[in-house]
Amino acid sequence: MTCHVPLRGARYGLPLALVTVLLAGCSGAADDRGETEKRDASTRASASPDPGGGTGSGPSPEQSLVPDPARLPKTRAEARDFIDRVIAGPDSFGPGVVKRSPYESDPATWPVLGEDCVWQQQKPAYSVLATLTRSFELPAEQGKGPVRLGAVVTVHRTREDAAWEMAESIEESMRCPTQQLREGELIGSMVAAALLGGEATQTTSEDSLSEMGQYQSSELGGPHHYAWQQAQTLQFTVAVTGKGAKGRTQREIDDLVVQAQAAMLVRLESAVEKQS
Amino acid sequence: MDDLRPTDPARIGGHRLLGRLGAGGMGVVYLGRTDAGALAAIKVILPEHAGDEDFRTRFRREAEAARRVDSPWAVSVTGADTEGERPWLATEFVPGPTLFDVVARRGPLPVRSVTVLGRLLARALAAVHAAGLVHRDVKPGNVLLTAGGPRLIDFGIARTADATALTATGLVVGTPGFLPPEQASGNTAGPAGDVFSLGCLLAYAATGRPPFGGGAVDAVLYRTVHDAPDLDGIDDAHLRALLDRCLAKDPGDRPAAAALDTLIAEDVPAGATADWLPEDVARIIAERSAALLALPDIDATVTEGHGPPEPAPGRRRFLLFAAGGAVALGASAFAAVRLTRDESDGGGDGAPGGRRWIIGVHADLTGPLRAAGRAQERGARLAVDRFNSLDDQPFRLAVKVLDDQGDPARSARVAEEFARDPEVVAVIGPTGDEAAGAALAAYDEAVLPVLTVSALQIAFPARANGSFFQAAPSYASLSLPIVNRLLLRPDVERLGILIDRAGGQTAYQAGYAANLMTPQLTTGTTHPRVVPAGTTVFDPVVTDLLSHRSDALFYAGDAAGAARVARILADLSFTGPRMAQHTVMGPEFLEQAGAAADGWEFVTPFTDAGAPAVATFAAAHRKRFGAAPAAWSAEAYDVAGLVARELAALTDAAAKKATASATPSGDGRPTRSALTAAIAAARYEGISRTYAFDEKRQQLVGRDAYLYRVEKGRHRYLGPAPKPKS
Repeated sequence: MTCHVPLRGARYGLPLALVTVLLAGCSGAADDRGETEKRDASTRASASPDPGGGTGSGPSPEQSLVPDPARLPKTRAEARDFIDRVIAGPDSFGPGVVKRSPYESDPATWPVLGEDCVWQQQKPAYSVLATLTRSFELPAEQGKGPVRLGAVVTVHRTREDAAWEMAESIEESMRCPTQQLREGELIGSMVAAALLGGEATQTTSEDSLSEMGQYQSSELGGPHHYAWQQAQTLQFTVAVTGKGAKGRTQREIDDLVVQAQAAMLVRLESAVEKQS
Repeated sequence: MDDLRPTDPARIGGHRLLGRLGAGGMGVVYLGRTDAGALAAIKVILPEHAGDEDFRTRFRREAEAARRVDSPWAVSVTGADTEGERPWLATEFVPGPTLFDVVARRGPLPVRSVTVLGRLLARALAAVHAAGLVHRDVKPGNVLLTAGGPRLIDFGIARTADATALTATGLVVGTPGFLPPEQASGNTAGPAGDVFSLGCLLAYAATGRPPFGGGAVDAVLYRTVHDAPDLDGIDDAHLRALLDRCLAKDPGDRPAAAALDTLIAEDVPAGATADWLPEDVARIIAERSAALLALPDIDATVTEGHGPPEPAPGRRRFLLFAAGGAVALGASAFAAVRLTRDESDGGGDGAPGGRRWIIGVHADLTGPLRAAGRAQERGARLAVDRFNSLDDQPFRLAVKVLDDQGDPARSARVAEEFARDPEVVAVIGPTGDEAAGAALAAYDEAVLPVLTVSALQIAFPARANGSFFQAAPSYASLSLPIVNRLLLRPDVERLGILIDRAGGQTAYQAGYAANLMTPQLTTGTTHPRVVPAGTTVFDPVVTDLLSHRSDALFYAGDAAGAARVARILADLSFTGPRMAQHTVMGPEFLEQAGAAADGWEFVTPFTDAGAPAVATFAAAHRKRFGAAPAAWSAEAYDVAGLVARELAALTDAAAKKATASATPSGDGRPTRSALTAAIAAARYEGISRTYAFDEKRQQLVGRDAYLYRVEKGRHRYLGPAPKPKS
């Protein structure tokens, strides 16, 4: 699911060139993807990603995931419990990542992109049973700025509701190529690639979005690389964001994002699949 | 074709059996399909013969010899097992009527057709004889006709008990009326016997009658031995003289098959060209080939309404049987359908005309995109015909078609098969996006240039060897003329864009790119909406689009969704410009949308049969196939022409170099990687567009496209789409 794209070079080019490169890069990185899948498969049992391991190629989640209806959350309490078991922790990103403060969002709110392309915290829609956002950081070190990371898990009442959330995410990048995250933080030149399960080599979820853009911050400068991954399976969506910083390569950011996303998808499966 | 019987095996030697083509004294002939998807006729010997050691020795020797028969005018043996409990021999399956069937239907053929037939079948026989075999049953039922020339089937394997006639004095091997006198007398005929039979066959083709009459077997055999042949009605002196020599009673007086080739008039082209047969015969062949090419439907359970007309079951069975041949080592549809093959290559005679290379067509011939796949096959064939018809070409080209059925797994196997075939220099296709994605690895590994005109995603993996060319604008590129068409008019300020995820990547890429490009190309704005796959209620989203003052609408999704949106817009009396992608065009949209389809427009990467630049091609297409070219045919014609031109240029350059350095250069065939490089650097003026490729991703440079509008329930061609700025 990685998108190793020479975004910087394409930055001043035509948007069409950009979307071409992005879509081609994301769904076309077959070799990278293969690696990721193998990791996923190899870590299904331990429910914790192991970047070094994994030569075995297990069945793809799409083919093997048979949910146990009894394990699917139906109440807000069950949904919150489910999120606790699935959402990424610092370890999910790899070594060195720590919690940021505030670590967890107010569960009574979730972010909504307004008509003015500014993100606001609002009360979740009725279709949302529960949602949680966590914030992380790979701290600054010699010559390198801090990498700000986020993870979101949302439990909807139905699969259709989750699919609509994915549709809205695509709409957001279409109507707001530049977005204000909060005062002093902007992301621009946003482009999203979307792959349904089975398209290209996407087999880790029913629907997968990869978004990238340029991150600009009054605190950290920029533009830096911005990466966002969102996936939907059943009534759930999981997402990870990564914001670049001085001295951090695009590859570093993408790897962190992919690691955490893979970890959550693996946990999600083991949390709902039928236990034989 | 008959169904398999409970006692029939399910598989034989890597073939899944599909049905019975025929049965004879020696065994049963099945239609089978290899795991790679090729159809084959498989003759399986009955156990009672298999147990006979003499028989097995002979079968072993004949099968071995048959594998050495190397002629474009004889079906090739694709596999054999001479040692197993049930020995078998498989040949390719050729989709075409037999000569017998064609003459029975339309009467005698013109002299020119008969002469070409004679020359090419003489070559086939020469190859059979050179392999140490005698056919012993040359007759109209054992010759299949294709537009590219005849194919001799069933050459002499395990004949004895199959082709026999009971006479007063015993059994005769062969078919009375086409037997040489020595065989009619009960003796064994040698190669000269085949030449006599060829003479009978040609006389039959020229007059519509066997030259020794019909009726009682004994009477026919008697006339064969004692009477002069009946050649009344053959006025051409040259042909008559030729037949007289072939039909000499004394085997020693007949020319050898190899010599016959040179005895036939000089003005006959070395290979058959499309016009070697009268137009009505070509049409019969085209119809029947089309019916036979639908063969892989045999194991499908559903046939669709908008495909080519299906022949009645009885007819199809007959055709199959005819094509398989009564004793049938016939066959091929899906597999190698060879066209316009010249004499066997390998430089036997050293003449440049002896070299023949193959352009593969990797198409969906029987799956969801079969209309496009078949159109592309036809376009490629016409390009090859045209190339071969020009004098002084350094080589000749043939077409080999493999069907991926639109299935990615099959597509990968098709690519492997093309990659393995050393004669294949380049491939046109695949038809569909998924099929293309699945095929890329095999083509790239073999550095085999592959040019698709209809797989238009921009998300194909970049491959190491860069042999994949997208020779049409991508879905994303096509959104530029779409945006121009919708917004460059005074009454449109805002474009409503609806991406329906049911349309997959095709829709996503077009809708997303249209949204990105609108502010770049125009002063207008967009209102984008996205709905999940499976959405059936579009009223809220359409209402939202209109309430946000969308003056024009682009629906990026599938045909069913487009029809629903069209109906809602009609109910709301929306009359602004509205478009969908070319992938939506077709009967499904027109039928489901009904009158609401009127006024919808489409930007297409394919040109139209009515476009002026296409006129000559369209006329040739009508002549050859009896119908106007369908969408995608002109584009396949273009890229096949591009490949042919680059091949010729490379071959010429190599020949000059070889002459200069006076060193032999093998068969002079350019390597696949040299051809890949030449295509990458080429600029080619086609009838649909100019072809040149972007260095990095080898996608088409330029976005020439065409415009259609639905009027009164039909797609009407409007002309070239508005050119994007820049």
